[in-house]
Amino acid sequence: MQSKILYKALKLVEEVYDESMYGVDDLYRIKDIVHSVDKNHWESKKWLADTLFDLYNHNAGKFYIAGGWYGMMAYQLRQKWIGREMNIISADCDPICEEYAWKLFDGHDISFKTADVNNEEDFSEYTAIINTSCEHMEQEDLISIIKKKDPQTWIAFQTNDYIDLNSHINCWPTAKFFAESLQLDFVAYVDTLQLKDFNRFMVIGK
Amino acid sequence: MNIICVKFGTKYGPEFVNKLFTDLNRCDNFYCYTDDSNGLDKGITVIPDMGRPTLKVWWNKLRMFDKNFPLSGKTLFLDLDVKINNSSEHLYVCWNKITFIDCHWKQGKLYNRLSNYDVKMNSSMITWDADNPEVHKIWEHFNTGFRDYYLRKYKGIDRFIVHEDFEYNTFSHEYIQSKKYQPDIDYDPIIITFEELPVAIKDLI
Repeated sequence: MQSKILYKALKLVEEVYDESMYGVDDLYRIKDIVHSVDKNHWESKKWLADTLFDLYNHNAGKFYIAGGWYGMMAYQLRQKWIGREMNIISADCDPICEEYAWKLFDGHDISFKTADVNNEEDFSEYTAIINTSCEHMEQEDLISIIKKKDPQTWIAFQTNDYIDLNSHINCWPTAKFFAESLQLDFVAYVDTLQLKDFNRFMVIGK
Repeated sequence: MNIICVKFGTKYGPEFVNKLFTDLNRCDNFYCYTDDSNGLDKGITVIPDMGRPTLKVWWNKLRMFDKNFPLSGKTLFLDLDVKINNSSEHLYVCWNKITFIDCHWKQGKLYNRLSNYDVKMNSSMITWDADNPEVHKIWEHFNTGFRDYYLRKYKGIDRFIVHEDFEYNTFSHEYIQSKKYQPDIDYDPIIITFEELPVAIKDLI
């Protein structure tokens, strides 16, 4: 399955290059696509899916992925929740993410859409809200998501301590500090995944 | 004319702002847009951090093009690591468009490559009319669903402005000396820039 995803990513890279020759010149998308399927992202998304699967302990529900990028998080969740009784929605405010996510992960029963999580008023229908892009989002928006959700809805959030990127506006020094910042009523899991150049932190709770 | 600098983060301390203020004859209309006004000279008008969206370091320069930014009329921006060599009173600018430095010293095919995002302009000195709606479009364009993508794609605002196809003028070459690329010149520039060179306050005296 991994090689099939990587093959689709290669074909998408080819498509971006072809488009740059005769249409929209946006070659940086190539680098972005490569990053989205690299080892770090693959492992950190899988880490979340594996851990949430054990804690959630149900087959059915509706998952909302905020800042879902090109769809890797949604795909990893679908690998654990294989039945149709789990509905998975992956949203990102960048419209190109929706377009490319359909190309990378079509056929996996995932719904990709273009939406800014801050404009979502009602989270009551979701049984879990997943966000592995917390380092790119304002802290008050993370708190807002948690306040808007149903008390029984799970949250599974990841951030990191990689402060050197200008797009990383919400990094934390430790998983514990990140967990405390979210002000959850119930914390089920707090841990760190050590990657090559930085640490990724994950908090799961309600 | 407003004169403004932007100080975010800890790379440049208040002494850089105060030096710029002094070199510009402590003019009345000197502004500093900053997240930390400690240590700034009392004659400097502080524009505090306008908040969301949170931006890091030089990306905060784009905020000056927000139509809600509290400045009106002709405005001159200077980076904190430029050396004032000559009075800005000698500056002649066409105010119909935003104006940047033309990095005419950047030569070669490298800068014309499709995959090369480096550009031949520089935002160490900028002039614009703060009431010009065309300038406000820069900030508006940045604040779409693509903002996070732009922050990944472009190293800084220069590349964002060029590659997102905004129109701009450039200053007369005689206004600027690039210390790195033009160590010897035969004219008297208004400012000296230190692109990519580390700058200490003593370099600006």
